[in-house]
Amino acid sequence: MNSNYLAQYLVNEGKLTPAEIKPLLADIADKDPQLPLMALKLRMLDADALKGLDTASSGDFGKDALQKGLLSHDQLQKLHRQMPGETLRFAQALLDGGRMDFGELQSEFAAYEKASPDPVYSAVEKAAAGQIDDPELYADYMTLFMDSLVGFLHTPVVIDPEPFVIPNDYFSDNVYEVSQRIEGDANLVSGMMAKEKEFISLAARYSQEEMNEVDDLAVDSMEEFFNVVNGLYCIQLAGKNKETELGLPRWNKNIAPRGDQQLLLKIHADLGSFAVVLAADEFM
Amino acid sequence: MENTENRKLKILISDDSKLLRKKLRAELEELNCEVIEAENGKEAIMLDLQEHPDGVILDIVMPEVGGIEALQVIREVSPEIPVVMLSSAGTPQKLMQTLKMGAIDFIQKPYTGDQIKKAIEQIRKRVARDEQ
Repeated sequence: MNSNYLAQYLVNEGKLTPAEIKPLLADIADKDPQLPLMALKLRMLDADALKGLDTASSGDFGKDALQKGLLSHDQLQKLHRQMPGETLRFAQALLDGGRMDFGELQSEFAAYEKASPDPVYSAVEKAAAGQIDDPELYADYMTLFMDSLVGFLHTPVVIDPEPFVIPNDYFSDNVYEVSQRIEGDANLVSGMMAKEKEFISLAARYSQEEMNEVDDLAVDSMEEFFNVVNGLYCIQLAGKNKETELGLPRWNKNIAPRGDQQLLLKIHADLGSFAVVLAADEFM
Repeated sequence: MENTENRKLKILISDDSKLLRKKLRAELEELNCEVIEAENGKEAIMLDLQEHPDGVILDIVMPEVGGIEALQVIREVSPEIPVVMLSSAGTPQKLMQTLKMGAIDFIQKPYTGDQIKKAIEQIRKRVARDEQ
């Protein structure tokens, strides 16, 4: 699980606004979670115990914790072996930015781990506002989509849990859209809408090519990204005995999406905001 | 005759994604392959007949003629040519279907360089066996 569920949880709960989240998401890539935070997350030490330790650096913390008998060699080795995910990177950004201390993080870790349903599902359900028949299908898709943004584009994101209504002037700048249909035992068309700057940034990150404009390669890159994500979703559905086929990816520009069971989700990333469109049939 | 292990293999890649073709071409050229590109299954069938490649790497979801149909035709007209499927549509059903139809391997997108290297090794072995 790559997704930044702590960030999503904090946005869902209104403890951080999407505007506050963006600069923190930008910081995540450079964050190397330190051992004190990892010890807190794994419940080896609580915030009170950390107060009495040197938490300025992982090295000093390790020595100090060993000397004081608060951690064993085995525990320390376990911490060193941990593969920090996006949640820990985000927590480190909160800590370094002075947004939260160890005590607050301890409470938030405990709360978000108990969150039911999970924060992605909650965000999708809230944004759907009761208008979608099968929010689980969309929430499962969004979980995979968010993991894929981290895995393939190194771009952690959060879903805005508020329903996204397209502003009147939204198409005054060029808005680029791609979509792809999944059909069979489950029917879903997934796609995205992004303004030029965000579209180029996403395409450049996926393709690892330098891009300055929305050209054939940029469009193709985003189509291929959806093709890969949707293929993985079809495999996930096959695991639930739902056989599906992928349609050809499509793209367009400046088309207001229309589609049965349509859900627009505003997505916030370090590179800006864009929208994911989910529907039961083609929306452009 | 040049040893199969050293000679350049002619590989036909068929995928509607320009990005995929660009990336795959670069990797195959690193593996001592000459690359020909098709944007869809129809072009793949045509180029298979014209160019007689040593191996084919075929996507499934493509316009005009899809990869499954292209695989069927290529297996009929050039049964000796090894075909590797490289697709996002790797459900167990598609995997079984294409392997039963004669594909020698199925690589799920996103692929790794190692998977491509292994696929080329498989193709090279087949070619060497056929040339003996």
